[in-house]
Amino acid sequence: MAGWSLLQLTEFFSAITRADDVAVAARIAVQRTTEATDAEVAAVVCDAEVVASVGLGRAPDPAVFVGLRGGADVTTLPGIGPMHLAMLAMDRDTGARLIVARADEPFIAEERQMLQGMARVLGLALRGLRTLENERRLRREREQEADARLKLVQALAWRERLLETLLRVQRAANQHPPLGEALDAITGGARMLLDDVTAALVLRESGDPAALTVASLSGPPVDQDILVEVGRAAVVANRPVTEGRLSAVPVHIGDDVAGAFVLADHTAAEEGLRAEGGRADAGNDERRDVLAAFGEQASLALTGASTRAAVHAAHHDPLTRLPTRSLFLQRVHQMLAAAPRPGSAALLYLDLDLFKQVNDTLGHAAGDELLRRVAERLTGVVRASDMAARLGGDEFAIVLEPLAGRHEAGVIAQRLLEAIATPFDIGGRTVVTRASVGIAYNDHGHTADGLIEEADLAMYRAKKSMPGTYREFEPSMLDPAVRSVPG
Amino acid sequence: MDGHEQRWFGVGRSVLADPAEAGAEACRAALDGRPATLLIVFASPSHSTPAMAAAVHAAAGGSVLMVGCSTSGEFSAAGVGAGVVVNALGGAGFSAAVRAVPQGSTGLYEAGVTAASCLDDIDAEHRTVLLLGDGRSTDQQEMVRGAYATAGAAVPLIGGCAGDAMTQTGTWHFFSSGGDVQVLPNAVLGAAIGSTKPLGIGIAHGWHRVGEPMAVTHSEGGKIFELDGEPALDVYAQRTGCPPEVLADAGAFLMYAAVRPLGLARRTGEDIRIIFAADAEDRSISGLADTPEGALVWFMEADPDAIVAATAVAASAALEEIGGERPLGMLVFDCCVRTLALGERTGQSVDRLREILGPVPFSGFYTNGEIVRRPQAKGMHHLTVAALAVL
Repeated sequence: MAGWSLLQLTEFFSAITRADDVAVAARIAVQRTTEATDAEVAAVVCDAEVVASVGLGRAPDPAVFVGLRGGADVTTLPGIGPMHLAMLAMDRDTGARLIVARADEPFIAEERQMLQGMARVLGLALRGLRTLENERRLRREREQEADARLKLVQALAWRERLLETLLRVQRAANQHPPLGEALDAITGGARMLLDDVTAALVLRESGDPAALTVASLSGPPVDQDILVEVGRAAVVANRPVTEGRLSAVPVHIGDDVAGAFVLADHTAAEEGLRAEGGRADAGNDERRDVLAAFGEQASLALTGASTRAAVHAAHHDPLTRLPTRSLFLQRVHQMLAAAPRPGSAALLYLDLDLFKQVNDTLGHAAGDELLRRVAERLTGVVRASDMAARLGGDEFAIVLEPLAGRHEAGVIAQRLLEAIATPFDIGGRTVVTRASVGIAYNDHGHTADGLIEEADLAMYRAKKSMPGTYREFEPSMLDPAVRSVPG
Repeated sequence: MDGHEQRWFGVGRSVLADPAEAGAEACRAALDGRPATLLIVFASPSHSTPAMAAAVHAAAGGSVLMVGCSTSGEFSAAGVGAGVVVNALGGAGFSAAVRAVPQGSTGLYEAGVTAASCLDDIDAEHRTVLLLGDGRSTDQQEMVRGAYATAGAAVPLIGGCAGDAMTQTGTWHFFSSGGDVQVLPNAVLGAAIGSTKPLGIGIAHGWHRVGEPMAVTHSEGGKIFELDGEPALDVYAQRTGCPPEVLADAGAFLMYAAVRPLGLARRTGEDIRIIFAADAEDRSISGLADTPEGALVWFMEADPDAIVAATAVAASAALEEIGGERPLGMLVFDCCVRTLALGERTGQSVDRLREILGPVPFSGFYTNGEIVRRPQAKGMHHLTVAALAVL
């Protein structure tokens, strides 16, 4: 389901950032990851120690979790039986990992991606919390140099900024902005966290997967060829790569490599060398964290956008981009359920009068283009709260809701007729068409199909009596005798 | 207890006006002269008195394990009403242990940990933990999380949160670990039930999604300020067709909104969020549980037939889990808000149970939240029916 994993990740972020010690954060992590994936068992393992687990009772044998090796997809857990496994690294160095086990089905790519995002956030949170616990201990012991304490506090503050930035980017992505904005938020977020870097996303082009282009860039300008080159290295290797002051991680749509997230470091090389060792290491750690965390964000944003695009495509006519009949029927159904006052909404049925001639004389391509352009004009005339749909062929329908009064539907119908009667320029030729419109108003006891049928009947009468005009439905039109009489 | 005695499950119900008399009558009917391993008591607020709890316990001989809670109404094969229902089980092959966590003694998570620790005391091939939550605190899911941390995946959790006849005044729990009888306000109780035969659990709600999903663009806890960037109350009123006079009247809005919930996107299906209040000042709506920012929600609808049927659907699912065999008895936890949706048809859902179960004794109560924790069901549920079949 589109957006499902992003939502779970946001909830996870919010819960983890509320924890104020390692044990609570790890406990929340095992609870939330099992709940998010309908899994039975989860554990957080750091340094051969089970920090938290759920699903095997209060004090399971740590060896059950510690002994699990990466790469295994199935294991048998005591008291439960065979289970599908997901093991996610929480960072790159320590071997700390999040283990999730589920009985019914293997974890799909989207779930693994989400769990990897959760594991990474947990890793960052635990490091921050450990720093905090260290700081507390140091303060108690009052033995350490002020300088060391300062470094810890700085490291902690930085981790908090990283988590906050990730959370902000995550929330922004959940508002489903255009993909470009979501990607800019990711490169912008990375840029804000690190001094003196350029952050970029290079992505495969849909037409030519071999070609990579820079889709988003934040920070001082960098030669795009250089960014593409290191991005390509990460894409080809399908793992993180570092070349001098450039580093890149692959980003994915589901299981497929879609491009790379690239950081270019502008800190002068000598400066890096002169800096005392500890500080330079800290800088490297920070870059690696940002690279990994924001690369995963980019993967989630791209995967989310591609599933949303698929859902959108399923509900929209590929030619005109208008909603399909099924989506339109849903809307009419909703409107009827939600608009109890008769006449507070209307349905317009619109049929082009001269479409067949266009098709026959100019060809199907011109006919298709005319339908596209008609759809554009329809959406230009109706209001944001209305919905225009293509029901098939050259037939369109529009829900008008809300209506201040019946006259308003007539006014909008007239505007539609005028918009369509204005000549079109198609392939250098002037094409003239016109439409007939039928109007039906909601009433008690209406079904969606009934309302459409009434508007269709009114349209038919308009077409028969005076093409290029609109007519409102009247109950007499239902009379079969009247139906067959023109005018 | 006689080791050769057959396992049994009994239900007694009384609507006598005097709470103690009703309790004793219901208990005697449930026991029918047999010694019980565990008593499970459901009582309406009018009958949730210390005298009732003591009378039930005494009628069972005075040294029996007992858990129970107040309700928003109880039902059994004898019908729906406000009084006392006593469930009793016993015979060789059943074992039980109980825990009580008084209100305020600990956090909700720890309350769940403690309530489920009753499992420590029993060892049986088939086990479940019956949880009776307090029904008043906001984050009952934390209690279920605590219980799951103790029980693990091998032991399912089932139960409901105590009711107060929908008065929002406070709930009561009845408890005995064999000796004294306690009546505790807003507590959390756990009862581990062990059996040599399987225990089946079923769950159903009958609501379905309508229309397209919306993103929760601004919320704090259970309060939703914006849906798809628009004031949540305006979107809610428009999509459900809520008349202005209902919006202006808090009581009327509660009745209206309680049966027009939102569904929160989950891996399989959705979590139901009951909406119970509207704030005309900040155009927000409030739900009974956390609805996080960024969440994807649907409007949920149900036709009355599906709501009536949910009880029978849950019961059938529980029966299926025990291989379709005839159970000794069944316990049902049915959301009190569903009675608002059903109105005069409330009794029909019990009729349907009777049709399915025939002579099998059963009972249930109208809950402030239903509990099922096991694969595909993550804990607290709303507008839902949960059923436990005891084979």
